[in-house]
Amino acid sequence: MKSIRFVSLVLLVAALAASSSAHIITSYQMVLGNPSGAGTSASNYLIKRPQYALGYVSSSGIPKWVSWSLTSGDQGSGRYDGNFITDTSLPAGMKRVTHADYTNSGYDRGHMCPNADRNITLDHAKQTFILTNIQPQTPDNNQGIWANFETYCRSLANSTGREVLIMSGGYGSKGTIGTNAVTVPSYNWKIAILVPAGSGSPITKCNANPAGTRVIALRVPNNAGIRTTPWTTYITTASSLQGSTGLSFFTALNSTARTTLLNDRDTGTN
Amino acid sequence: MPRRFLVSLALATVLAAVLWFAVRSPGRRAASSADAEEAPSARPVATTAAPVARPVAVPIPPPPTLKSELADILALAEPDERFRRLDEFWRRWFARDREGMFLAIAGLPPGDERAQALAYALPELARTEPNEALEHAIRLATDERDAPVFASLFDLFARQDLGRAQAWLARVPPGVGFEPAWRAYMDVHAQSDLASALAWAASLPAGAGRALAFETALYVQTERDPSAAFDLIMKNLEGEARDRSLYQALTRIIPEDPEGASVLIALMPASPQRALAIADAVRAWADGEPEKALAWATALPPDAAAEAALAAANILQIWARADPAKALEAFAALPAGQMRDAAVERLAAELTTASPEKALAWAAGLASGAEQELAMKISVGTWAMQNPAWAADWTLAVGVDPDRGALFGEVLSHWAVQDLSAATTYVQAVTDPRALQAAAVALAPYLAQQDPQAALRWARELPQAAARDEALRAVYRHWLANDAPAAQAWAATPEGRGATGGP
Repeated sequence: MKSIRFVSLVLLVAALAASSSAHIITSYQMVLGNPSGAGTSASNYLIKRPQYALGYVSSSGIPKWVSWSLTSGDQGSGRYDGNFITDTSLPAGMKRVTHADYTNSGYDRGHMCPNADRNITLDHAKQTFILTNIQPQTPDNNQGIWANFETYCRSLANSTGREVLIMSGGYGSKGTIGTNAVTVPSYNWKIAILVPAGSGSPITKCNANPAGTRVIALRVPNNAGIRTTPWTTYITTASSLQGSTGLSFFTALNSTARTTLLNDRDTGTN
Repeated sequence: MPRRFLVSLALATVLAAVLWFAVRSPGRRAASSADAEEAPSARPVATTAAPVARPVAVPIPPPPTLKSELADILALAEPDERFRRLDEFWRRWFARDREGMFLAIAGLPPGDERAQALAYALPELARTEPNEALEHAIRLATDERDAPVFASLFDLFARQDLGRAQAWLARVPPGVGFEPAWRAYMDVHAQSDLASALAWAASLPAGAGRALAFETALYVQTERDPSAAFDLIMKNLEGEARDRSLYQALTRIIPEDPEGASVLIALMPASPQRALAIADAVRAWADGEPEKALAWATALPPDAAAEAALAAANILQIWARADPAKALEAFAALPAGQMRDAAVERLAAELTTASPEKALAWAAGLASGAEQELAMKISVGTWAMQNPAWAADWTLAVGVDPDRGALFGEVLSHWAVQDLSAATTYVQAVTDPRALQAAAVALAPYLAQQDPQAALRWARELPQAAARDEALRAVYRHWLANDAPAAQAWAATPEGRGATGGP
């Protein structure tokens, strides 16, 4: 054993309170950057929670993007069975979407940050049911390809032991639903970054080894008829998604790493 | 008065008849009444058209007002606004003059805007004119981005009339529409009558259609009876389709019966999906029977050594949540090697999340130097995510030999993500030379990302020369990646030459 003066220091840490998960911490949910430069504007309103961060568009009633970090330590068996929750944290005057806006619309309440990525506790899981984390998705999308890719991301975190940084959102318009006129996106997109092994924060690791950083970018049509389609069918690049959405991804990374990640096209195999 | 009234009535009747025929005239369908309101003088007249066998095929340019409105919307820079306006615009145009709309869509370049238009218009048309919708799709949806509309159409066709939809699959040419059409049709067929769908798939000649039909029907089978599906998949599918379908079946079996799943996993050929299934299965199994799960993982065949190592790590992670003492006992009994290395990381993170002091005590007690270093690094890094100031204090207090220096860098790297200002302020008071150097290297990239000049100023103010040089070099490396000309210009200055060792 090396010269670790450990025993005398146990007292230093004895008073620490335990946390339920290492990564379900507000400052870790958008480490790769704020893709829309979201702030206090109603058209680009930043919401930061321990479970995820997002940029909300009040006029459309859906998030422009949602971002979170996923590890094997975030997954458990917490289960929330209640209604979806109106986001009462939104400032007065902003659109507050309700559970009923989706009822009988023909669209599912599609999680961006999934419940099962945050079910290490019931409370963390419950926070994913807040409606600013939700977009209207066709049942074939939400219960098929979207759910399958969510499962894949969790399995990837578990089978590799590595952190997965995820962003998702929607773009385009297929009309609106509900009394609050919630926009139905034409596409949903998702980017999963499998952070390479190494030392330091995810930013340090990705900057140090962009070639070893796996990027899976998907553009999923919000259609009927795609339920059984493998998610690999809809692989694209983050750069292409930038062009479609007007967002800027990975701005926390240096230019070399950012360019590599933006243009990497995944092969669909881990 | 009565005569005048009758004459007026007769004239009105004639006028109404003329208008009715004009509107019904096939060659004038695109220039319908709604467009006439927009631009009556610009309405095109299809007088030069060749003999019209199929009126729909006569190209009629869209009225200029709609074209110019479309151009204006397409020019909008903000995507949300552009798509929202386009959605409203296509709906309006479709209601007024769908042929003119399809002509306009044909003139759009491939991309999101064209795909959005097709995704709206073709299913809308297919509700009443399915044959016409398919013709338009085959002609217009030729780009990869347009392809999903074939899924929408064949989902709808199959729900309208399964037999007709099956026959129409033959009309879809090879290309972007083939796969989505087959999958969408087959999903509806299998959901309505799985046995019939499987029989039909089996009757098809070998080829792309057969493979897609089988895979889709078996997907539905995985939802109804995943164990039976597993056998059918092994018999009927090959390659990636087989592997992903097996994994699909296992994702249904694992939550209910992880031990049963483990038997099936042993039958899987080696594949990326097998690795995923092993991890998922052992996590579910470890929730109730970690000893049995670990025994299974350690008995996996040699070609699954990497998966076995990660399986053990997953099992111990789940076990440590419920019973850390037992999990650590099981870890201690593992043989040295890949399995132990993988388990150290997960255990360190899990134990630290629950109790940093217990995790660090465990790490410090590990006999192997390599294991101890890895456990310490993970533990301190995990702690730094929760409370970086405490982790930094602890790391400095245990002493900064070369390893502790690395640990301090680990802490600072995480602190920079959370609060860069607090991290840099903390570092100003650090006196240990190794710690200061480690901090400089860890923080400089974060500062340089925000403002290279400010990062240089921060580096210059560090109290020790060695740390200053390290920080300047780290700022330079990061700056070089972001803006090579500016970084190289600085490297050519006396300060830059001194720091980077340049000429």
